[in-house]
Amino acid sequence: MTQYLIRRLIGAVFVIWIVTTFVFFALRVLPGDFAAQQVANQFLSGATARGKSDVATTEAQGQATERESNQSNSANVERSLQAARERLGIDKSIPHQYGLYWKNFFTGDHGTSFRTSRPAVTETLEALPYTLQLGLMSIIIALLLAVPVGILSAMRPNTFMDGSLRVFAIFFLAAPSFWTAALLSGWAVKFDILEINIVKSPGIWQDPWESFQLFIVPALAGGLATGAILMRFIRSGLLEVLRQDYVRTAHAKGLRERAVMARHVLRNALIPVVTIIGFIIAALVAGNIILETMFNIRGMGQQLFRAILMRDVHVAQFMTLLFVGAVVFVNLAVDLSYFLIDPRVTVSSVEQ
Amino acid sequence: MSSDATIVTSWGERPPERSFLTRTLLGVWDFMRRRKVGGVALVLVVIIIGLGVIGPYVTPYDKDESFQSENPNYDPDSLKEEEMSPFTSLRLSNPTGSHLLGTDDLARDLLTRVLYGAQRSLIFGFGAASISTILGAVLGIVSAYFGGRFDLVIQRIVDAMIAIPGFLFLLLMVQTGETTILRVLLALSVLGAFGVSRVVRGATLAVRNDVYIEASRVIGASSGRILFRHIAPNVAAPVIVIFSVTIGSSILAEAGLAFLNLGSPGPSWGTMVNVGRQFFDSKPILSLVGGGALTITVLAFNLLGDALRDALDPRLRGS
Repeated sequence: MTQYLIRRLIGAVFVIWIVTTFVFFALRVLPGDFAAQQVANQFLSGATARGKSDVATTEAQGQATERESNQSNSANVERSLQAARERLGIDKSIPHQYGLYWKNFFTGDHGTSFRTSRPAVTETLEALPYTLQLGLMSIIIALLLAVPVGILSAMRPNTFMDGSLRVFAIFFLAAPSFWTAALLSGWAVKFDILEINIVKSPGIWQDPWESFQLFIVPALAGGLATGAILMRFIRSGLLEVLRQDYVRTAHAKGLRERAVMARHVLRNALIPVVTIIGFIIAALVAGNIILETMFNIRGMGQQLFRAILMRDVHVAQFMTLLFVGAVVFVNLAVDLSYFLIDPRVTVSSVEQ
Repeated sequence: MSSDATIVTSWGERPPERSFLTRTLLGVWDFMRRRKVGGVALVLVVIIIGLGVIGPYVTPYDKDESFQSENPNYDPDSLKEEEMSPFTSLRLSNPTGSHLLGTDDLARDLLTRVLYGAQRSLIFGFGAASISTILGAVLGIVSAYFGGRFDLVIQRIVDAMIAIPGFLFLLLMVQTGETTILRVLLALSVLGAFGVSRVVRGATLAVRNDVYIEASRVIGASSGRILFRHIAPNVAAPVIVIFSVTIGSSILAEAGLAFLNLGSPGPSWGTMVNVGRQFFDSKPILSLVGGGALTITVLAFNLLGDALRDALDPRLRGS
């Protein structure tokens, strides 16, 4: 067991190392960097200021000065770019930066955001509560939907109700969550059901009621999509267990339906459901990039999206690390929890 | 008794030779009869493919053509801007005889754009699913067949790639340069390949130690021959199933990119939903049509995948 645990831990660390490296190089291979954007902005504002001043010069003169200033400009741009890169620490070669990254990693330094000049860790921790709020609301909605519907569906398989519930699930499995969210928010606003404050987008600790109204639509959209997956898992898991001999035995010895369900069926059927928790968390994270951006929720999804677009590499790097670390360790915890949930599972049976 | 009689009467006669085409068609017919839902899904898929392939050539309008209509308030002497011109832009019009779904925010025919959107989704769906199935199948079979340390390393790498949220992976890949169709297609393919390789690896592991494979190794068959002649046919069923499902997920992922304005240019269902959001109050049809088309398409491919799974490989049922 200890050996198995150590092997799994090494595997998890290896996975995180690969992801970190992949993201590190991917972020630096992307064309353009933050320095270029900064310098471009700087020169754009400079150019408009200059443009206003020499309106009076004649065209020929204008062209001559433009050619001149173009030459000096490109040198200027080059110099400012170099300065900006040095300031941001992205002037060194990529392997050198990679070495530095790991050196700083082990001292707990994850770099600062280029955009806000604050530590990447602070940026991430500030975004985390929003993401957790949205994720938790989605999962609660998904569970509230999937567990009763899945049980209902499996208890009377192949009836009209089972059929319609499955159609419902399979519909939300196919419908993109940004579409569901667009329709729900559109109707909610049209019929004055909700007041969606996209500009302020407060968290639940700032303005509970307003925050709830803003979060409920994306949470519903995410929850419906996740609930659909969950429901199918619960249904097939239940059907599998209902076929087992021990269920027939329980019925035969005169247990009431409810007792059979609670004591024998549900306990066994929920084991495979645990399997996909890791997958669900990953799916929610991915879906949240779109949903958070759509509703201007300042969670990790939106911040990560923004960081990638702006090449704010340290923030993007740390947020991915956190995401992937969460997914990997949740999956590990899920695998280990089998040993607790199901005494039939042993190390040798897992290894096969 | 009757079966005995058949044997006697057919003695010496060869079973009717059927061409590959006939056998395929009979197989499809059998599938549709047995799996009602799968049959419906198959018909839907065929219709969608038909619309996407033929539609753009049948529609009388160009996908970027903006339409105008006569200005009802036209008054040559007026100084008001909305009355000065004899024509006005036919923006966000309601469905009419000549524009069956109306027009969008830039006065373009919505139905034409929906058909082009179908073409686009099919290109990304089939393109990405094909490439990722090939890549994933090779990776999965090779990894499982050779096993050992090689398999371990490959699987940890696959683990890592799967641990990255798919959409994040797409964002990183798409951002590597100008968003062209090819770039998006490659990003989707690589993303899908890891999932496919998992399934194929599982299927290969299940047959790797079967007796017939050992037997062919004993008579001196090469690794390549065993892989292609004996293992590949055995993993074909799950590959077909995952191909169908990957089409759906690739279409969804691409629509997500397009929704965030990160897709390649051109009419797209994802973009339609995004634009439709602004005009939801007055013209909900924009949002409804784009998202509805997406949902039906993905639904059809998912249902087809489910039915194929039940028909081809009962072991995988419900997974």
